[in-house]
Amino acid sequence: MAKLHRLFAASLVALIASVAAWPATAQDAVANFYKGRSVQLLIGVSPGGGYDIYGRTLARHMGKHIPGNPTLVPQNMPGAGTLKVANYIYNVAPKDGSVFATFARGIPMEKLLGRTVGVQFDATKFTWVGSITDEPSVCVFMVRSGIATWRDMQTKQWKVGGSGVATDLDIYANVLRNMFHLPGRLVSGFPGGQEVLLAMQRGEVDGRCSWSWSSLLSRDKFLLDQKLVSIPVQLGVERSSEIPANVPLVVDLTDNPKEKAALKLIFSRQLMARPFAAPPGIPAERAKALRDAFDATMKDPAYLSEMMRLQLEVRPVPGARLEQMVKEVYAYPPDVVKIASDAIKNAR
Amino acid sequence: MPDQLAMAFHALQLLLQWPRIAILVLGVLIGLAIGCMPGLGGVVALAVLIPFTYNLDAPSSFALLLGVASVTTISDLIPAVLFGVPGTVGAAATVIDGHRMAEKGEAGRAFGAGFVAAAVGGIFGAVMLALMIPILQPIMLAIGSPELLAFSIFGLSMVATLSGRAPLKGLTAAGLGLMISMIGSGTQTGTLRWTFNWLYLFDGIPLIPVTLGLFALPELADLAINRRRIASETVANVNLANQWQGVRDVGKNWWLVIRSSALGTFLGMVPGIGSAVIDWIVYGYAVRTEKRPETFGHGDVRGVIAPESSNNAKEGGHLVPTIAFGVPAGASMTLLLGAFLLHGLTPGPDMLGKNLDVTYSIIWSLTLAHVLGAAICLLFARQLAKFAEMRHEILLPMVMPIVFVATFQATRSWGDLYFLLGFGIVGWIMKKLGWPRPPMVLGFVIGPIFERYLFLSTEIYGNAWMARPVVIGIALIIAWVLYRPLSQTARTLAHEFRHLDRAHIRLSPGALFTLFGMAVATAALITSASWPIEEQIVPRTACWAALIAGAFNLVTEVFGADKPAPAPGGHAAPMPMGPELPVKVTLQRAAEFFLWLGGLVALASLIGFVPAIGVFVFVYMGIGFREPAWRAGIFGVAMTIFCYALFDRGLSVPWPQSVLGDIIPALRDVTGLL
Repeated sequence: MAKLHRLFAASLVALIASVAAWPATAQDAVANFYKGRSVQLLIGVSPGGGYDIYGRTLARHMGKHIPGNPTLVPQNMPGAGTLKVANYIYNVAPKDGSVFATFARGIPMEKLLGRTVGVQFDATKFTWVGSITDEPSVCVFMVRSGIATWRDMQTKQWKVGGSGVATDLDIYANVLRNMFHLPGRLVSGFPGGQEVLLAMQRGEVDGRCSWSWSSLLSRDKFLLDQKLVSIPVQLGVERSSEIPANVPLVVDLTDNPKEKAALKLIFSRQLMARPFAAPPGIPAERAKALRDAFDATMKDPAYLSEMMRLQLEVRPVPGARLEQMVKEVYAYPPDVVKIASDAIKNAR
Repeated sequence: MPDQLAMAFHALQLLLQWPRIAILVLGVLIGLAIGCMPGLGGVVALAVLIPFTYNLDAPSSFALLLGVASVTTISDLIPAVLFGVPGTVGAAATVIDGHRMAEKGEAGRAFGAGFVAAAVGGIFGAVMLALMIPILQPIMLAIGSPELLAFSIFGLSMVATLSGRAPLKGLTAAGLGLMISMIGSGTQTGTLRWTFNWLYLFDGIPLIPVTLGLFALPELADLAINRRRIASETVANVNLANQWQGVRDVGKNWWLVIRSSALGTFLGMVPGIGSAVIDWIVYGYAVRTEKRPETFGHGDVRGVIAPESSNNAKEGGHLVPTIAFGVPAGASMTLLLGAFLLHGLTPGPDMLGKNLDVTYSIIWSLTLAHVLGAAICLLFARQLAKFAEMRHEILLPMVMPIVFVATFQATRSWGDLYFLLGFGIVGWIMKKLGWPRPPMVLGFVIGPIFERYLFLSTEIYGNAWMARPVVIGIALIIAWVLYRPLSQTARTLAHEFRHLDRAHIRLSPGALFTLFGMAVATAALITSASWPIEEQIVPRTACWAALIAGAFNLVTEVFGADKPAPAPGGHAAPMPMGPELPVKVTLQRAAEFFLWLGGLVALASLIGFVPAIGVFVFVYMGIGFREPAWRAGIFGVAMTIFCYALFDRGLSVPWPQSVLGDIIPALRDVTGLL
């Protein structure tokens, strides 16, 4: 036992000595702070899949645009549909600019739209860094289902696939059905969007609302080329120049100003399709450094060529714009919020 | 067809070119090493390696990734046979007969049979994939939700066979497993089921803590309790001659190998059904279909051959939906899809047309990796067996932290560790009391798949889903699988209930444990009464099943005649462990073991994960096992460095914040570990 004690004592002394030997890092200049540091980029999903790839490619390039050139280390912290990571950076992570994260685009709206269990943050207070794209999204139906236009969606019976209440597939389908009293059904419970697509090809369901336009183009363009699918409506708050002009935009389909506002509230998340945010209250000069570095990365030819190779969209939205958007959304009058939160509910 | 052949050979040539073949070998070596470590499997290896494939071309990338992913289920046999601890979730079934063989001094034979069966299975899966290429799309389009539902019911029906001669216990365990799998947000209305507002439970309990808890910790606990070397004679017995005997066993049982591989391939195509249950389903299938099933569970080589061949064949099956439709059939395939995207490859028609060469290179990588993996294992089995010579005083302090951190990295939450410990204790009690554990895993893994496709099938097809030809075919197979065990069960139960001794009431440990299970099921029933009806159906049915089977079991425990029934294939047969220890010593040592593990969790929250591992190894060896301080120190430092390198540098695990780091933030800043 005596030997053990000596060993413990010796290790303790060594530990204290090594800590004392490190110089204090609290210096004002941003570069000094970041120099030689690892910055954690937390990814709220498991490896593989869209949010993970967007996060990892950003981590590979953004470090060199931050003063002091820190190393960006992507780390996966999956859980509760990315709610875990959002809670973590809001409440637990150090508020010094050494951590930021990416989570699902719908997460900031959760609280507003009535989900309270497990949401431990105020979305307007995050330090928004930016979004890599503002993806327009669409409803897609198999041609053989006979649903080709918005008129068809209003008048014919149809079934779309979903993958759980908190996903865009379910939320968007429910909003359309509830707000416009459409005669369609939502069959939910598929593991994910790819499985819904497979079910469409099998004829188990007629289509899906939604599908991001860019992944439709990059992964399943043959469906368009072979004219196997039609696109009755586009989902978003602004008309996309890439989607054929005869496809109506969802927010233009109502004349009721309150409903229009509620639709804007819900679909505005498409503007922040791949959002990145840091904890609230980090020092202003470091927040600025992160935002500037994000914007610079979005123009970095090396980054862009890699994204091109991966067939991933880059249509950046700056952090300030995200911040403004989230604040706008949270400032909507209660009756509009009520319409929106009623619309996302699944009415069988 | 000639075009396809030419393409296939072109792909082989590509793969054999330098440096691709070297990359494949490297992948195989990494995969073999990871497969040996309990709790780490192909998913982990892929997550580490995918970033390294940025700068490789597509065939090289898949050579590396498939090299790693496909051989973890070969080398996982090694700890399964030597220590009874499955190396990956897929080797749990192999433990039953494989470890028993080692105890009988037949480790070499188990290795020979297992490695070769694994290679044959892997090649079978690859060949099936190659043959199916022209018809991949039609096949996938023919398998709809009803067919997937039928497959999952087929898997669940194996509970009957895997319960062996303890059908009531098996059914109770399966019901409880299914019930536990329903924890989390429901797929239909998003109702939070049994989550107690704990964020961790929103996604349900992950697979790794459950399987490691049920299968690895009980074995480690028994190692700590019995305090003896695994089997000193095993080492002497691993040589080429007795490995060759195992190889010949594979030849003799070729028809079993083919059937197991085919079943493994087809089950692998069903999204969600992975190696954690395929090995059990095929084990149950072997027990059900083979002649002389009574030797299963007592060191029968067929009990190694069947799960090993199926588990390696499944990789080919997994790739079918992945390549044809970009639908991942398992966690490893989700990662592989990520790699597809990194290389600008789109799963779907392109992989069967424009990029057919890549598809073929994937198939060849799969084949070569299995051959290489098995060959390397066979050659080095003798050296690897030396690990069995390690004393438990050294082995336990080394293996426990690996199991511990491997579990944590699964979802990176404290909850993983609580459930690892919880399921470890439950698993150990089940083992001691002769409760079959596989039914619990089957219920746990298949439960959510069953619920999902039950709803999809009825929503989409109404009752017509039952009239589909494939569904009817599978239903007939299920009836055939169930017929014998059910009639047997009915007979034994009738016999038991006729011979109840109502005068004697015995409140045995078995009865208490049954009451515990019933109490959990009752509490679950009470707390789920207010859920929407569609979220109630499957979980509450599972609760009732557990409760009713448990009640019947309670009757036999309290009033039944004394007879600890061994369960062939049920993994429930008490292992003959030399001279039996007194119950008091066993319980005391078990409590010590689980307290040490609990202490490790507490220590990690106090001083951070990586430092806790070093301190734990040092203290456990030094105080727990009274090893000299210098040795404990060396191992403590070595394990710390190893875990730091693997989990921090390699896997970039975000470490949870510790109390020490909160008190001295500078330390956290500097190390990034606290």
